[in-house]
Amino acid sequence: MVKDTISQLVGEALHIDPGTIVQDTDLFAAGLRSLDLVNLVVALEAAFGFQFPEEALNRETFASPASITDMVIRCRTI
Amino acid sequence: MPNNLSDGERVRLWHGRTFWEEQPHLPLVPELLTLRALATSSRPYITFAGGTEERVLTFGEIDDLSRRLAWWLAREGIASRGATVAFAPRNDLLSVLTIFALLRAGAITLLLNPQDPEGRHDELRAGARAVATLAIIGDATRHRDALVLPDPRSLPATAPPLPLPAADDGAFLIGTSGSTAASKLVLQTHANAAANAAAVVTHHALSAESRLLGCLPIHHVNGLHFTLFAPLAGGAQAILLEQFDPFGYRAALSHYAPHVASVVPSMLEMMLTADRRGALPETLRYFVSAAAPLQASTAKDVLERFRRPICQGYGLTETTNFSCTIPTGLDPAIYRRRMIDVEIPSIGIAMAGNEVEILDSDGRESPPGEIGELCMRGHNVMAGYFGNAEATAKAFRHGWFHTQDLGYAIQDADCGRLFVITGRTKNMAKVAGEAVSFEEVERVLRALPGVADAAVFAETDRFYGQRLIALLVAPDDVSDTTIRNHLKLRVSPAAQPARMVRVDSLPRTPTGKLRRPQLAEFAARLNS
Repeated sequence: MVKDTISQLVGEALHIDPGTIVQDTDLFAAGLRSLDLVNLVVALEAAFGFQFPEEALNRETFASPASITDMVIRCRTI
Repeated sequence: MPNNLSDGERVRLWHGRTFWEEQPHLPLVPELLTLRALATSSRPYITFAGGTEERVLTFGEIDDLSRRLAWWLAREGIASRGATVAFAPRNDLLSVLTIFALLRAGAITLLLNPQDPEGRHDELRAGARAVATLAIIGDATRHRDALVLPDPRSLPATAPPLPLPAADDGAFLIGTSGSTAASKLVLQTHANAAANAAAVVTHHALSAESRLLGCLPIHHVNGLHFTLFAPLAGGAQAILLEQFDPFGYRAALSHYAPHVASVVPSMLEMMLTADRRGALPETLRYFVSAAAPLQASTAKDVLERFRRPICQGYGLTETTNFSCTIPTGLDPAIYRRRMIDVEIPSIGIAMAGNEVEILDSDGRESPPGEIGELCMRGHNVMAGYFGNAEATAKAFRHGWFHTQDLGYAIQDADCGRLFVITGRTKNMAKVAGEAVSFEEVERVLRALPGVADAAVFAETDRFYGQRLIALLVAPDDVSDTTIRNHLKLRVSPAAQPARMVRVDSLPRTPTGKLRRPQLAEFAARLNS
């Protein structure tokens, strides 16, 4: 569930088919720009109903769908 | 002012005086390099950051290495006085050296956006009659015809200096998205660059103690003139980030402790989302925001969260870089009155070296408060549109440069004469600070086989400022992916539509003109 939503939102941010996204896709290599990244932060927070803590807002968190999933699960359980 | 001057001559006068009359001793950029090296050779001029490693160039090194490279360019017959050379710079050391070397060699640099597709580069190279295209070592995306430059450190240190260019010589050709489908090429002179840099130094009181943080791309006038030339003219220190990183920006402000930071409004909005901490380092006095309209809500949020004011500036490629800027060090109450408690924040006062006026359609000056066209004349006004006398004459009518932006003046007791932009008369959007012409994108869309008709309009977007929406009359077998791939090869990333909507037909007048004001409403009706 969480993974599907993340793939969907990442696909929208990158203007690509969510079906082509795998868990370890390098999002920065795939062309994720600063603007897309910030849009993605806002979209993820709206979709999951939480706010990323300050320490989660870095490039490592958004490096791949897998790293985003890890952080979303961690944030939701806090 | 003498009456027998042409519009093209009058448009470059400041209070009736030419650049030479007003500034007979103002050094041009190539001369500034030598003067700074003589005065403060070992002081850092520019720090390159945000890439794999930090690199610093002193005033002595930039002078020495750009002289060696200029000598090589001249010796190889690539750059000569008045010849146009195309170059797509990135925010790195070799690109900056190349720009200075081309200026020293007297060549005109056609500045290309490295993000633009090759088709767009070809169009601009042909229009500018570029004799060569340059690339730095290791540029993986270089143009297929590009000549790769040598490492300047491998060239002889004894390279003799080249003759200095004249003030009226061309320095840059820059493509601009105008109101028409075809892009126009703005010709900026050495005098334009020197006049703009001097005005910025005066306005921001840049000195050897000043540090300026830039992250805007240097193929863009704001990155080029504000981040590179103004610190050189003021003997100040520049820090150039490879790109803007919303997560790393605060760390850069802490580490480099700049006094002034150059941004566009969408970067401030990105920081407000990505950086949830409070006040920014105290060394930062203010942001300078330009290239797209700043919203009062952004100014309010930046003041309340980051505790910093924003100096909004305004200018077009045609006016080099800055025509207006908000005065620095405003009293907080005055700042609020002009930037926050208003519908539209002001773009500030006229910079030294140019006059700004609001003109009516007959070229008469409008009284304060009355909306008209924002026009300017002075030492920062371009030489003209390259190879396009008709467009130049139209832009310079009545001896003023016509921006096609609408606005009004305010006589403010504390600040002087302030200007406010209310809208545009041209069919353009500003996407993340980049000007995008609707007609240009529509022309490219209609050129795709299967697309019967296309129209583009802009929607407001918090981060991008504006984003394009494309309306298409095209059968389903022309897929969105086909259309996106077609666009990616031909227009810049900023011009890629956020959404594409299929329609049966477009609202047009009986004579076939698009009913632009109705496009947004037309699309909204389709959705409902």
